[in-house]
Amino acid sequence: MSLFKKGPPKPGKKPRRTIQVSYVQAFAFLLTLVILVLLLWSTDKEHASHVRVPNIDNFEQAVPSIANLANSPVLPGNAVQILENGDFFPAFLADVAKARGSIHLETYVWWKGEICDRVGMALAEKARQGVEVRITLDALGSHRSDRKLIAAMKKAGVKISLYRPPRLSEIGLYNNRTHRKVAVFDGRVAYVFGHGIAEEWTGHAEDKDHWRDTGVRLEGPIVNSVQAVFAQNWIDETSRVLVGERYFPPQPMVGTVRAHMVWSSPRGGVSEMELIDKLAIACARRDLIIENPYFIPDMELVNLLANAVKRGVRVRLMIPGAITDSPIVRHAGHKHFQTLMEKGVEIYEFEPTLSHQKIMIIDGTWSLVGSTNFDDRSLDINDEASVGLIDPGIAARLTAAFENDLRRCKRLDARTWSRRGAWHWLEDQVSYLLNEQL
Amino acid sequence: MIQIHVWLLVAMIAVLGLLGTMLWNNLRERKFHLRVPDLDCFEQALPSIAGMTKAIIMDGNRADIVQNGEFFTALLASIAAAKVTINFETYVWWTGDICAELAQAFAIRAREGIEVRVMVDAMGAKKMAVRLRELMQEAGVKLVRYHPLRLKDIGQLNKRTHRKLAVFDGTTAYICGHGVSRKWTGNAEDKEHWRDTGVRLHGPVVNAVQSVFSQHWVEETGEVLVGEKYFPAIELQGELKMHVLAGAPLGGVSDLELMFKMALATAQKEIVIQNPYFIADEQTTALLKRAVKRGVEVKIMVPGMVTDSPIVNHAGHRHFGDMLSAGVRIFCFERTMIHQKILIIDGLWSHVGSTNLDSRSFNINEEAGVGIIDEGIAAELKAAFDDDLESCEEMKTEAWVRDYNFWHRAVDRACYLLSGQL
Repeated sequence: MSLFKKGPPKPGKKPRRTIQVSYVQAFAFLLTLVILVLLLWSTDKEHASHVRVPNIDNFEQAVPSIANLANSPVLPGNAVQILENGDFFPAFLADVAKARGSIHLETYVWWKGEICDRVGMALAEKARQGVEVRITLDALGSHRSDRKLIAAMKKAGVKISLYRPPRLSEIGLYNNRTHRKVAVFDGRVAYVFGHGIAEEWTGHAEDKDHWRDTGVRLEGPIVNSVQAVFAQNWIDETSRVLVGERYFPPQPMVGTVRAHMVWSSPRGGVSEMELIDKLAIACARRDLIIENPYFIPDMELVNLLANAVKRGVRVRLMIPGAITDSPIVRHAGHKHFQTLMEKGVEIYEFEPTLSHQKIMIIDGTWSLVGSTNFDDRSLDINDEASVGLIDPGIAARLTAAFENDLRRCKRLDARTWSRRGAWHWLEDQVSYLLNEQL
Repeated sequence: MIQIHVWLLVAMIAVLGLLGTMLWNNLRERKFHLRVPDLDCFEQALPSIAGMTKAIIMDGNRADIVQNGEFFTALLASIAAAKVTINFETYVWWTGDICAELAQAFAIRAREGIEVRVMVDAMGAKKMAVRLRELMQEAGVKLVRYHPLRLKDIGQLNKRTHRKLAVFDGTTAYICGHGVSRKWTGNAEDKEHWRDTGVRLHGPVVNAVQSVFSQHWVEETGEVLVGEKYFPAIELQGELKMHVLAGAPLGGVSDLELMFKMALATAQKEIVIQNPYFIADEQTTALLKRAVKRGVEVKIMVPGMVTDSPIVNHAGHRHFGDMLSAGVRIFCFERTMIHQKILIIDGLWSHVGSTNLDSRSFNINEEAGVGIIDEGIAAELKAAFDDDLESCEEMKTEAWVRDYNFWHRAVDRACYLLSGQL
């Protein structure tokens, strides 16, 4: 930068510590600063989140449009198994044991504890047997992991790629994490889930140390889509491409569920995740259920939900109560609760433990399960993966589980809410100021 | 004059440096190196190629190839035949009778009550006549310019839509290399009439083309296209398997570059490339050389003296010597500008679309193309390629080496330095 040069030392003063800058130079600095900030902001900002949806007769009609618009074509012929809470790990470990060719796992959370050791050792054992084991761990989400375990896994031949570690050359990308949670075995069986690899996900939502979560195990053509999701960030960090039938085998139809994979890595365009969430809500005709641990609606979402109620949709929302790992998100979410309840949205707080599942069920036909939270971080910043399942049976089972959870919820009501106290109100307002990064 | 502390100066410079780095992080392309396992046949690679580019292979489609000016005849017929919706997106809208003809056709249909949406790139369509714009808008055509110059979008200004596609009633689609200009009329007979290729598609794959269109539409207007008018359930129509590729890069690995390099890396018999802007980087050069080594016949056709972008031509020359001596055959089309973007692998898989083989297409602009898995289509495109060969001059290694003098080399290298933006 030749903009600045040392000014002549003033006689009588110590010349070392200060420098003279002309107004022109100061102005040039400010101008450069403004231009850089503007460029940076405009390349990275979220785009056109105001969607307008025409009138439609029923939700079923809209599903193919919704899926296609989010780059997520619908594939028939899949078999789906729902895995609640700690049921996830036994199923997962059984598939690890059965795998013969390749095991792929991408996750955000990998903390410390017994389950981490069990998963880690099982994967290491498979690598020793000659199975290709690839893991993408988010560098930030897994920074609490056990270094010795990771080293042992690497030594056994597990290929571990840390996603976006702090590197000066990539400092602008540091905020963009992978929050995806997917696994693929032999290109034949896939998991899409909300669970992290940590003790919190091992129990059955019995207390505050054992969380509530939901995932799905998939077989059929949709597995190729999940594989592609994994492959995307694998190439991003390692430059290795996954080619061939070992990873993308021809998939026979093995079930009756139609499924589509939604995945986003939003960088300066329309985020597929945000698009699909908003479209689906706008298209709901009878019944809308949202279960999400981090729910921060903006005014547009509030309007979409209010409009849904207005056209006769029953809207039910389940979010964490006092037990949450992120009070600031909880408070930011409160910002529009009063309006939501006044408009007729039913809001329930799950009390026994943190409900970490990310589920949306619409009109008893379509369910979305995956890693995506209802906040700007998930919708506009992070890489996410969720699967849409078009099947009344699946929707019915997830709805039954939801209604079961309702019995352990507290329903919020508008009258009590409006008297929640100035301090609480202030916390809500202040937290919401940060909402674009939460 | 202002007196400031040394450390403040250092801090100010650091802030600028940090912001600059963040900006560069956001915009730069991500380099990747392919490591592809040994394959028995190219077909095995296709699910990977489709899957990695966010597409699935769809069965039951039909395709007609449209060459040169035929495209407009077909397009105008489809416009006249549309019943509910017309969606059209393009980069180039210049001048010539065809522009008026097309605008008129859109306007007539809009007046008849058909939903007509036209999206043009704000840069590529700078020359669009005001008269035509008003004609369309008054008739009720929804005309939208992609990424116009706006201060708040200044960082997006370099990112253009280079897509060229059309969808009618959600059931017929076009993907092509053609722009709207008199250059693309005619039949490649002289320098004023260019050579280009497009495809008309019928079948389930049209849904995928519609979603490519819808993405930019929702980005610029917020209007979401939902329902049977746009995404009808489409019956199987033919035998062809296809997948649609739409590049929307900016940070991360470019889908189109990945597709292209994976195809080069996995071809087993034959690689045919026809492209107006072909700038091979080191990796592409290496992939092509390796292909030749494993017995793949590689033929590349690029523009000769007739080109609208000499700088791209020169940048492309950078690795020609290397490729030629490795056994890659390179042909220069001399009759007119070739503008088609065709890739044919092993006589089985063809890619047609808007994607040039340079950084601008791979890493900056928004593109659209279709991969067609069919020996018949591949044979038809190959026959057209062979036909074009007759107007070509083949580059010969000895001649290239002999005539490649200092100045030419210097110009090529200078142009290649800019290749990140070309």
